[in-house]
Amino acid sequence: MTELLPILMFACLFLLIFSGVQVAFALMVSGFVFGLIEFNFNLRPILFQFTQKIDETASNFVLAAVPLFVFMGAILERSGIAERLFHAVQLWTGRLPGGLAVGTIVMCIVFAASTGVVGATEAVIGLLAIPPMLRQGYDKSLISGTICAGGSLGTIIPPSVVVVILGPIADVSIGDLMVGMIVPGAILAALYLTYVVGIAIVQPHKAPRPDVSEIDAMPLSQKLRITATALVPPLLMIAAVLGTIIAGIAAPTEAAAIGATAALVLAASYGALDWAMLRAASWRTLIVTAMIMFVLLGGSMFTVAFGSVGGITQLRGVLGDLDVSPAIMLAIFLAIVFVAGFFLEWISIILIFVPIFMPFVRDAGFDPVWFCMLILLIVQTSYLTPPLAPAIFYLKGIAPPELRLPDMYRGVVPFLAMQAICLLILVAFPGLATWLPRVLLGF
Amino acid sequence: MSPPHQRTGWLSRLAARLDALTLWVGVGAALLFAPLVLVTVWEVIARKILGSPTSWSFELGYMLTGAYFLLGGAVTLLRNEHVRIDLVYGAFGPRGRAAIDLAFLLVLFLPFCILMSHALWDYAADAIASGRTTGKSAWNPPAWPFRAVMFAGFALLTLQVTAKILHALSVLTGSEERS
Repeated sequence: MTELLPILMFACLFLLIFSGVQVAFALMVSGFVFGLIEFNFNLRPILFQFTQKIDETASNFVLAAVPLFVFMGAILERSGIAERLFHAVQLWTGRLPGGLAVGTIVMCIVFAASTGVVGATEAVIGLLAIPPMLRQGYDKSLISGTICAGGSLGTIIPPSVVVVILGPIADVSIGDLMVGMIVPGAILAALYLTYVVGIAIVQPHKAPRPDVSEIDAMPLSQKLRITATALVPPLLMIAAVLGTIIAGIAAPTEAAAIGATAALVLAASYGALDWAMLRAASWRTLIVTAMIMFVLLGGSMFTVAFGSVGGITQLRGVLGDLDVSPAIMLAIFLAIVFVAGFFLEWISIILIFVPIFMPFVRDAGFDPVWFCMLILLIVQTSYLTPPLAPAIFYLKGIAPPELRLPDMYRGVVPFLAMQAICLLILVAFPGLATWLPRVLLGF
Repeated sequence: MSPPHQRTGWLSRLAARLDALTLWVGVGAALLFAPLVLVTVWEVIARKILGSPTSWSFELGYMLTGAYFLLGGAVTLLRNEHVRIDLVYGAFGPRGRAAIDLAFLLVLFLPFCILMSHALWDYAADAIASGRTTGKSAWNPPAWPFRAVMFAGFALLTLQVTAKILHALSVLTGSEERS
């Protein structure tokens, strides 16, 4: 009977999650109930373990980076930086095949690199970019795919809240991950851009060329001035956060605090900072942070109870008995995370699976930083894969009615293919993830 | 923030009171963000520019973060912002959703919250009785205030869960339109 407990525990968790109960609470309750059964309905041991987990999670200063990064994003979203950036980027990408889509993705990249929040900027960028693309007669799938995929780039382009959660769970330094992400993030962004330009060349009707005479007429000096004023603020943000980590001035949490301060200063210099905006950003930050941290807390409670009922030992036994090569095991892990992404959102995926996988990854001699990069790439697909696709939900929330759900589902498929290519490149060349941290941070 | 319903009966009035309490504690929690930024940025300045790191910024930093999210958990529940997978849940009408909420919160989550709050109360009381300090840095402050915040966070969550149960009940009995 007791050997069935771990499986029943997972069954109970998924039953609760899919009946629509709050994920954080489902994790806590299923951990609690099965811990209680394991300890013969004696309350003390399980409550003691949970108390320890609450104390540990609440005392973890690294997690301060979560509200700080969320706040950075909340301020930037409301600062008006996006509007200027969108117009500036169009000056340069307007002439390219698929220029509007290229510009949109470039803007997503800059935003992803200046904030740590995932998807939150998607609404801002979508509201700006969808109307001109529709007017220009862009294919609706292409519009949807561009916004959804670009909007979720924040996972893999540093800084990223996902990494702040993933690092401690995988026992990998957050600084190493932040720096290690730079090259894979750049490759993925480049693949997105390649796809958009490629489709515009092969199937020009999907991305009709706009009239660029107005842009052509503008003198170069004016173009440069508009671009500089639009690009300086995000570049300062990037320098404030990534720069201080790389230069060894600040730990990731401290870098996040500097970034939050920089966001405030920038918003003020744009004249966008007022009480209403600050209040809205503060509420958003509190609520998003509490949501993330409660899932984290629930996850650590579930995991400790899972260990108590013998689940971890049992799982090791099962995986150990599989008798497959490390490469196959890696493929199985990644496939599990990919499939989980259809139904779960990022934080549940990381909390439930990464602690289970990590010991095997280390035993097999894989580089943990590299493995985390692969996980991040796949976690990003979870934003795009239906039925639970947060990126598509955000888009649905802001899109005009002529963009329909089927357009959106079709639109993300090519971008998922780009992600698969990026994953294969990273699997073939692990150095892409591990070289930069070694050079810059010297671990 | 809660729209002015035609609430009837003392249960609904109690739920409204609890919502208001949760909201005010939430405002307090949101305000903790400012000192968190200041403490963290100050530590960088003190270490890198003034050359003398503080003894207290690390512990104050994690305590502010912990208090921030523990006290913000209840208002996040009030605003229905704790993430859920609503593939099935979203397909139900208001009454179906209220029934799911009621069943889970009343049978499973409320008892858990009460037991957890009780355990955290003991945890804080133990720190007061023993005079325990955190032992995590040179500053080494008493452990009880932060433990008291952990208790407060879960106690407040317990109250907000109660309010949600009352809301769900009034949706099911037809005296309120939404949960």
